[in-house]
Amino acid sequence: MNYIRYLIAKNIRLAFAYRLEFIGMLLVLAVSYGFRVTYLNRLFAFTDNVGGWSRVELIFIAYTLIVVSLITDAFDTSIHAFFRKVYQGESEPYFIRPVHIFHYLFLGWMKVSSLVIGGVLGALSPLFFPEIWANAEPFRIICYIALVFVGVAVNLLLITILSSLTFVFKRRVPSDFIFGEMTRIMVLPESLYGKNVGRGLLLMVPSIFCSAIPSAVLVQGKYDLGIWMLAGLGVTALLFKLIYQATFRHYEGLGG
Amino acid sequence: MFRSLIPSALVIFARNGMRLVLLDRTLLGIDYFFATSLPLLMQIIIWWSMPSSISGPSMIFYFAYAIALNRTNNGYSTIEDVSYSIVSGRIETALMKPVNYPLQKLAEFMGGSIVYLPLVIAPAIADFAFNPELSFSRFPVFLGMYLLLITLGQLVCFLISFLISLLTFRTGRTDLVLTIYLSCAAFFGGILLPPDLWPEGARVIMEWNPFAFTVASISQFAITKDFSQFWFALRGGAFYTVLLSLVCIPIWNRVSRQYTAIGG
Repeated sequence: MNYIRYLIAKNIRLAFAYRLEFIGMLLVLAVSYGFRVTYLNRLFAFTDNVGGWSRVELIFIAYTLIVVSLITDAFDTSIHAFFRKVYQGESEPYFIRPVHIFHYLFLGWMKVSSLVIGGVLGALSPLFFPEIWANAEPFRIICYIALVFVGVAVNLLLITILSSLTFVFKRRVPSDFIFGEMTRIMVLPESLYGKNVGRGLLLMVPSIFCSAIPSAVLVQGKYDLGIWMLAGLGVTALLFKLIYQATFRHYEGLGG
Repeated sequence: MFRSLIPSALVIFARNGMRLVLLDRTLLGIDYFFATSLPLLMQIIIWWSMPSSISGPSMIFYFAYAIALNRTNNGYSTIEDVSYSIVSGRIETALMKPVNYPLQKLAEFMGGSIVYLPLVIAPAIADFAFNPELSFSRFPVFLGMYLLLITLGQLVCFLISFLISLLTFRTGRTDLVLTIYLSCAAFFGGILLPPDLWPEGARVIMEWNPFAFTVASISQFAITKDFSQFWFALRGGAFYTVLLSLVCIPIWNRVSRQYTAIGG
């Protein structure tokens, strides 16, 4: 437990050491979110709804996506740092410490600044979208918040599944690149895919809907989708367990 | 003697650039597959749900061309490479070579782009194959014009990236600028929406900015196959090539003279 506390404290201190990074991140966020919203906004010049979602609601999905991807990024940075050590042959010391390797994997090199900005933006959401939050029942809000974390969890599991191929190939696996490209389609609501394809994808790759499903529950009260997403989390977790175990057998440390 | 050396040296640099891209085949395969199919899928899903008056096959082809062209505009690696060699002090060895450093980088960039050529030709072939109004006899002429515009677009893209990488002399780091550059290139390049779908005021910016001549204007020529559109893209590309060269060359001359590393 002390070890974990030490890891987190170390990363918080690190975040304070690079304060300028905060401003840089905010700038990048503002630019990329601004472009995305401008695009979504313009789509409504040609139609009054996209898959049953209004202008504000679709922008709300984009906003939720930013919160989810920022919180994901906080731990994702750690996953990448860990697997970099794996293919550079520096991971050995972490396997012999008295803490389970997953603590290093997810917390060891986490980026606290992303977590803080993600949390603050999440908390500010009612300020930017009053019309969505004013009508929401408390139960929907609780489900929304829970599903945002489910979204983060499925993203992290997916990134780890992709990255764990590093054990087999013993070289860099561009999981960050693949995930970055996937975020492009994450802004699309589930209803655009049609019922069967949408549910199928939700079960197999719930990451695609990591922000659409929490929003669907909050805005439209579609609890059944939330349950499908939880099932998706179960499937991803199972895949994670199987693939991590299978790939880890190929790990070759210095000790042989 | 040196005169005869330079063109062949450039070819060597270009081949080197090509090999560098081909070196990491896994990454290249993922780049070919994910970075093109997912953005295209997103556009198809969105426009599928739109009223049919606005979306249609030509719209989807616009995005196919634009996304492929955006992939070819690989300014990212030029920026990363140049700023890394500046920061780590390795630029000196490159400066010693018989070819001017910006020309070395240009040759490497173009060599890398050749690897992506099948990607930009694929939508053109699909376009001619699926559109019954187009006959294949016109394909070679179209391809020639299309490749000419792409070459100009690549020049513009290289000059923008090189200019950004020169910022390293001042700031020491470029990762922030790099991220913003990527967003701008996608947005102003016209990956998200073709320029003519923007409202009147914004349309001027979307049509005339330098990024548009690396993606949007070429894609619009490709879907309309209209000579006036070709002429527009050609003039715009040439204009920005000249303009950016005029900005780049004096800056490069100045910073490379001021730069001191090992030799002092």
